[in-house]
Amino acid sequence: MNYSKLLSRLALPVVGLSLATQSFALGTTADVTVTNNVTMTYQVNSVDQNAATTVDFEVDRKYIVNVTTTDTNWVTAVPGQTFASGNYSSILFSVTNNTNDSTVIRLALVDQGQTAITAFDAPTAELSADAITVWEDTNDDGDYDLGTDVLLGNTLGILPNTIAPYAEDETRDYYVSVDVDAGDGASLFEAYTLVAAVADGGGAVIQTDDSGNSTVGVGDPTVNPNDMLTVQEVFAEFASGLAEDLGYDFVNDLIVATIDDDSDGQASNTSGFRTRVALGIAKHVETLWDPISGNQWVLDSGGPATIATGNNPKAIPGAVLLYVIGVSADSGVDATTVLLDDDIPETLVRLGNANSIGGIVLPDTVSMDINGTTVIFDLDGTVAADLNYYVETCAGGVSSALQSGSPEIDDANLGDCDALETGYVAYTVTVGDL
Amino acid sequence: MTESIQSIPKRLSTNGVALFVLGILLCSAVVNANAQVELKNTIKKIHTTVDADGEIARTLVPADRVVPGDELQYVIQFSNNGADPIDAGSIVITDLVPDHTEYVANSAYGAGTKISYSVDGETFAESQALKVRREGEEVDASAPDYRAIQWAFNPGLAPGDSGYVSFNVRLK
Repeated sequence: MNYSKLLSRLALPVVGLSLATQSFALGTTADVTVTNNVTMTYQVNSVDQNAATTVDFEVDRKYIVNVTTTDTNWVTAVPGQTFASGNYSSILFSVTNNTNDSTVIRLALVDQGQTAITAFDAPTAELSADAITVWEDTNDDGDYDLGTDVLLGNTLGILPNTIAPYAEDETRDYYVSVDVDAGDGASLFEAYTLVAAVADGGGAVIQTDDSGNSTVGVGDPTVNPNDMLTVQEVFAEFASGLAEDLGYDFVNDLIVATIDDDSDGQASNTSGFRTRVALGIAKHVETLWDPISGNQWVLDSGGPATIATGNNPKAIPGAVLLYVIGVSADSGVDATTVLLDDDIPETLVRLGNANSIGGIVLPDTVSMDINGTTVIFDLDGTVAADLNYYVETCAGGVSSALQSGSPEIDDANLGDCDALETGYVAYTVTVGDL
Repeated sequence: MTESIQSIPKRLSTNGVALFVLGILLCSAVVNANAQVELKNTIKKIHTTVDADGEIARTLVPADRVVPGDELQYVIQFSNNGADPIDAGSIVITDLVPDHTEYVANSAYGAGTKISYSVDGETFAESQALKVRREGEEVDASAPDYRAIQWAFNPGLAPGDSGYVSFNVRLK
């Protein structure tokens, strides 16, 4: 159950009461004997007498499993992303054992397509996930680490997760990652529900308790006779209350329940993906010239191509620096009207007058890493040092040879960036005497 | 431990919430001491429900399945099964709050008794006089600090007569 999502929608007093009770986490461990001793002293004909007695009971096992997610809206998935490449996005589920004893918990994953999720944006169309990968983040760093984290599988339904028991109040994080077809467009949705059920030491889901409750897909049993001196089992979790959550038949590996009901020894929660256009962006800066060392680059005899001089100028007051901001539509999805803003630090003064930086030479190309891909921007002599700032659109054109305006760069227009196209913004600054 | 079934019709009011004590005492421990007093210690669970109007109802049910968070009620019955009366002012009942539980505030009951509490199981006083140390400072004790309850029964107890005391705990 996702309490954050639930509380955002419900404010009924009875819900508040339920949550307060459900949040009772670590309690007296099952199988503990609780003894009450009572003594009585009295006198008969002034003669001291006494009596004593005890009554015992065994603390029963109160099964509560919780599934939560910290996702507050659809997680972005980028067309073309694959788990194998390391460029992936994941939805996160946390499974907690709030039973007053250790217990094994089994998991099942359900693909719910474009099902709406409470408090998330309304989905409009379904994406086509090529593959899923479910993994346990054993070192809690949020990334899959080969050899450390545990791959649970690539299938829906019951997951072959570890049957190592959860300790009381232990939480384990599970991620669901998807591969998305590179041809998919933006604003496609896919919802996944993770269902967790209490299980015995062998990993078999516990089908019934002693209070007449059963897991999904199994008929309710008769209530077992009362027994204060035997540890009895009680399914005690509450219903989800969220329409998208559901129960799962772990016995037959089937979806048969349409709601996440109470007292069935299992709980669920739902999150999902939404495809978005992903633009990679990176920033490059280098010192072109300083008043002591001079130029970093010199003009090649053949034209605009340049070579490093080795003068290695420093970013001292008066030095001239080149900034290049590269953008790449590396998601495989077209982006329209890409605008770029950049705030210039107060210590830097953007140059716009060729006379003030005359003789300073720019490099012919700038290379930078954008989301793991090396992109080389060919300045090609088009970026003259006297430009206020220069924009080369993703389509390869120059949106404006000379951009004027405020010290900041506002809405530099790179135009439409089709899949895998790149563009950049470049400008020069000098280090002020602050 | 033996079992007995006995009805105790009674209605208590706790914090404005009606508490119907339904009867049927199960799992009672019975001890005959000096052939005079039969002492029975029984336990039941308090089941709380909220109806559609938000009304809270608390009923006693068998303590068959007890899990953390449950509120329990212990009832200690004492009967004079001997031929002689028990001296007036001599009856003192002491009950240790069971481990893994905490006393529920204002739940101790005993008609005709003076109730005192202890935070160490040895020294008893009225609740207002009890102190505990927290973070190096002496502060007023609260219900969860109580480790024992004592009832001093003022009247005598004629042969064949009986009485009872009770208190509630919550399983931690």
